[in-house]
Amino acid sequence: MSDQAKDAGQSRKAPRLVLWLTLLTGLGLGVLLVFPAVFVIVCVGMAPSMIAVFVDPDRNLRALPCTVALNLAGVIPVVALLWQQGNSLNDATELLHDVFIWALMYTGVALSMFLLWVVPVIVKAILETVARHARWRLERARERMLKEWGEGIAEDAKGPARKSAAGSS
Amino acid sequence: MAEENAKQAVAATEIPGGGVLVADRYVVLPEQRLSHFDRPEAAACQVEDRQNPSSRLFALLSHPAVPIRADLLNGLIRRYCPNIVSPLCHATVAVEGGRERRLAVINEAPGGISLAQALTESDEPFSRADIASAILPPIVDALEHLQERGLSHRSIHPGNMFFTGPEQSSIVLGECYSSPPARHLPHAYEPLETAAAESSARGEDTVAADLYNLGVSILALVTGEQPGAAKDAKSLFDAKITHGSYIALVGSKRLNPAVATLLMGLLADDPKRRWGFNTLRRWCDGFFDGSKKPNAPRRAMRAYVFNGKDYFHPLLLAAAFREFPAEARSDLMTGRLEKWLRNTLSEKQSADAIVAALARLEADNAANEKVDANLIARSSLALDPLGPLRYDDLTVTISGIGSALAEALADNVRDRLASLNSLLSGNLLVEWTASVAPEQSRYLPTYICNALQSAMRERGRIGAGLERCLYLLNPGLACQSPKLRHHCVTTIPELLQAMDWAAAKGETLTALFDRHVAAFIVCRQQSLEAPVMRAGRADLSTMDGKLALLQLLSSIQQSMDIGPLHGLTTAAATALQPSIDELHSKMRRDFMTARLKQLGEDGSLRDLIDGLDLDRGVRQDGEEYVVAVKHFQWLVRQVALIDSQGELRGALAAEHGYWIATMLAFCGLGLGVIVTVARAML
Repeated sequence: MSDQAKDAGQSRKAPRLVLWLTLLTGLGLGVLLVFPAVFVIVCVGMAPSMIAVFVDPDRNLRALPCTVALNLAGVIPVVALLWQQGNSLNDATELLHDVFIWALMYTGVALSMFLLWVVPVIVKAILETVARHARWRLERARERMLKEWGEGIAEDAKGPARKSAAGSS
Repeated sequence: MAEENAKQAVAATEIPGGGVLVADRYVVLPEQRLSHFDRPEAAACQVEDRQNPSSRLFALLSHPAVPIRADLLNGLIRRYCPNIVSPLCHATVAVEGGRERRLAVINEAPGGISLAQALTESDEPFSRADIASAILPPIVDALEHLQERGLSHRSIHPGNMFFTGPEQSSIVLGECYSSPPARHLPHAYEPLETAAAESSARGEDTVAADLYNLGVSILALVTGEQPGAAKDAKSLFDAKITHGSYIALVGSKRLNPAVATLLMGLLADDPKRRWGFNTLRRWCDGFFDGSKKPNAPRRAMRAYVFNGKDYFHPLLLAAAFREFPAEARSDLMTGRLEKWLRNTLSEKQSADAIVAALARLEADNAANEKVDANLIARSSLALDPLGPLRYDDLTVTISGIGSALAEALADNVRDRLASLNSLLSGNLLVEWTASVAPEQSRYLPTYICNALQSAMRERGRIGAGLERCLYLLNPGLACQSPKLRHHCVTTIPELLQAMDWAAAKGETLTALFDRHVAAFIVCRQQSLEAPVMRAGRADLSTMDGKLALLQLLSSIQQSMDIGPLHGLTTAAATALQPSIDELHSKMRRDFMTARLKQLGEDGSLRDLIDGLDLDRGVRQDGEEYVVAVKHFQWLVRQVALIDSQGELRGALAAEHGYWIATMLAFCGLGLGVIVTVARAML
């Protein structure tokens, strides 16, 4: 894709991103006013997803759903724990003093990074294997034809190409 | 005639240890020669009769290149003729250890020696009484029989007359079919009508010519000398014309008056005045007109000067025209000859013929014919209407053209072949046959003339040209193909057998089908003309040409119910193999090669063609090859496409990879929510 096309794509995505950020900021302010402790835990726990949005917007737009989903999967049990302990700012601070809570929240992000690295590699390996097999089948068919019809068929198969080349020249 | 020949031929099988069994009765022994029965162009050999061991038989082995008188031979076999050595049957037999084949004609052997041998063994020549009692009566009977059947002997001389037994009381005439008519008669024996013709082209003629031969033979017998031996052919011919045959041959010899009268009658130069059978019988009984004087040919009162020489006889002038054609042309253009014929000889018809010949010059020129040769030929015929045609270097009678052509082709004499070529192509031959008497023109009827002209019009094509004329004019002649000549092929089944043997010895199929073979087939089986021409038109180096030839041969094998031809089918398989090798498909090639080998061993040409169906195989192979080439191109394109899509597959893998990872992440999120809610509820 040319640079001009990329620029055009980015300029179309930019207003949507601003819209989402505005919505999330509004939601965050709402949560901050109603549940300040939950707001703290979510802000701390979802920090990798937010960083991912701003560090490499182009890459993260495709990877973002995966990162956000698994990050959220790690934050939700912590929010539930906070809710069980009383949902105060002290409880939130206590929880943030626990290293396992941090590990729980960021393991999801690590898992998403792993998935985003390994799954395309596996898919590419599968596609290459399928292509290699198809090529092998075609080669085998070509060899069978050479055996049945002789080497001359390869020369004759070049004929129209040669003719067209000669015609174009 | 060819069918007749085939019907009269009988089966012959070789006997282990030597000899050939003919008609399940006669054992021909080619190695046991009987040289005293040898003929100039046929060797004689011993024959044993299994049914009647006491019978005396001999066989004449004819050379395949000699045009035998097949119609005469078959006529004599079919119906007995008294006082002539009787042929019983004929068959083709192997000689010289099987290397060659000959036409063997089995004859009853005469019981005694020949009259020529008797002359040399005895000091005394034959007397009038011998002639009247022992020699003349049986010959008259024989010739009368021949005349009734429209035949003539044309080989009467003392060497070909035999006593029937040691008592020497009667004689028989020897055979007369083994060579062209009168071919080996000394020039003295020929009547004026045919004396000027070449020895190979004297022709059939009538019994009147036989009676003339008989007269010369009697002269030899009563004098004990060879008549005219002291003179060469030309001077004897001149003398016969100038003085008459009797004076020219007898000269100053003193003869018994009765014998002299007999010879005057038999040696009359005008065939109409020659003695007939009744006169001869009366002479034998002692009744004859002793006051008869020999007739001399008519002589002009005033000589015609040609080329510085005086000519009193038109026949001599005709011979001189043939000798000096350029001078003859100049002389004819002056118009003197017409006046001489009209005023001096009162030959109005001949004079008109000369005028007509001169009037034809422009037409001949327009028709691209040999103008001078035609002019000389027409003028000579005007001067000598009963004589031979003098055309270029040819001097032939109507019935002698066939044998002259056979000799010229056998010896490959280019000048004579060129002359025959233009004679058979032009209109002169038709004019000549239309102008002669019916007893001569019957030997070359209009339909044969038309067939000859048609063959010469298409002379460039195989199955036409001089070769076809050869077999049209010589119905009994064996096929003269250089590769088959020694097989003595006289019928089409024999031709296929000979081709089979030649093919088994390594001859290729296409080499065996030459101009002679094609012409032979067309002439012997008219219905095969179309397939022969089709095969002849085709290029025999191509598959279509070979298949056309095989179609022809297979139709002959099938229609004539000829047995397996292993040599020919093997040769056909060899000829077709290159076409199979050119097939594109290996599978089809292998299959057809195996099939060809199998069919090639069966010996049936029809099965070979039908079983192989090469034509269809080649067509299908071509069609399938076009499809295969397109499929191959598609395969190559597909491989190239896969090779070129490496980057695309990378991009695709990333796209799908992110999507799958996202799905897995949402699954994880869902699982996390479920676990959290479950814990909270517990």
